[in-house]
Amino acid sequence: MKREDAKNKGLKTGDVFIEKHTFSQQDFDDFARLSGDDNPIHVDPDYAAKTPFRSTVAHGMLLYSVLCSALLKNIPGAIQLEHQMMFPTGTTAGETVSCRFEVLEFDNAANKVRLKIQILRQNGELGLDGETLISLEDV
Amino acid sequence: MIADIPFSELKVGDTAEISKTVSETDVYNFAGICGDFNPLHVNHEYAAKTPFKRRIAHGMLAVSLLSGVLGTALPGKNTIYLEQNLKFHIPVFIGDTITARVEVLELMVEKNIAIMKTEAVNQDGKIVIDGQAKIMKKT
Repeated sequence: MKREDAKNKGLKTGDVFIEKHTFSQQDFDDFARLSGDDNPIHVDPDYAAKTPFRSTVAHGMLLYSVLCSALLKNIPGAIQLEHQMMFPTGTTAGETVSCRFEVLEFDNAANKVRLKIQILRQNGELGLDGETLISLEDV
Repeated sequence: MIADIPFSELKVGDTAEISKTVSETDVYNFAGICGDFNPLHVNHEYAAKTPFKRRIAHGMLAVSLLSGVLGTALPGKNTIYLEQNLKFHIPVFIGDTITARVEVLELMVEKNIAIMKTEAVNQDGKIVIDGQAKIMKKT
């Protein structure tokens, strides 16, 4: 891919994409089996009800995995290079969240794009907040 | 068996790891959970024509093993995931055996927060992903 193509993909600084996603307890259970992380805060609603979260919450990496998938829908072929993220609040089962992406800057010489990445919960709080660096090189 | 190591017992240098061979089933389950059906992951004929020559696992699948270690082994139950930084170095192929390892780098005793080194290596000892996590363990 040539260096101008980042712009040819129609991306420009300040562009925002939003994808909605609803998390179910089944997602948490499936992800627990896959990752080996069956911490009760993710998979045991009775246990989780007694914690400050009051409900099971998504694995942080499940949030990020869904976010990655939503990113690829908007920028097909993006290759992930680096991520920084924080998980300010817990995202609970049954919530419909908005995965939000904002184009922060281009490195046209290297064909890389930096984006702000966020998961906004139903109550407006951030479930995930961070940045990612992706490559637009074709594989 | 989920560990539950109290914050007061954590020491700089403590490590834990899990190893797992990434299967085709893992990749397809992961695609289903996060909705990422990129042909590089789920279409052998497509992947064969790329420089990778074969299907690769989702990068986040390997990262999920790292969060699995944090949530089940060190420190285990009731770990709150605050932040994660990641760099992706080389791809993970179906059939690779990934060892996900975490190590306590720094303890912020007054806040019950730990900085953990997070690293995943393949069967050849090559680093596939590295980075740091910030976690909280209230008790």
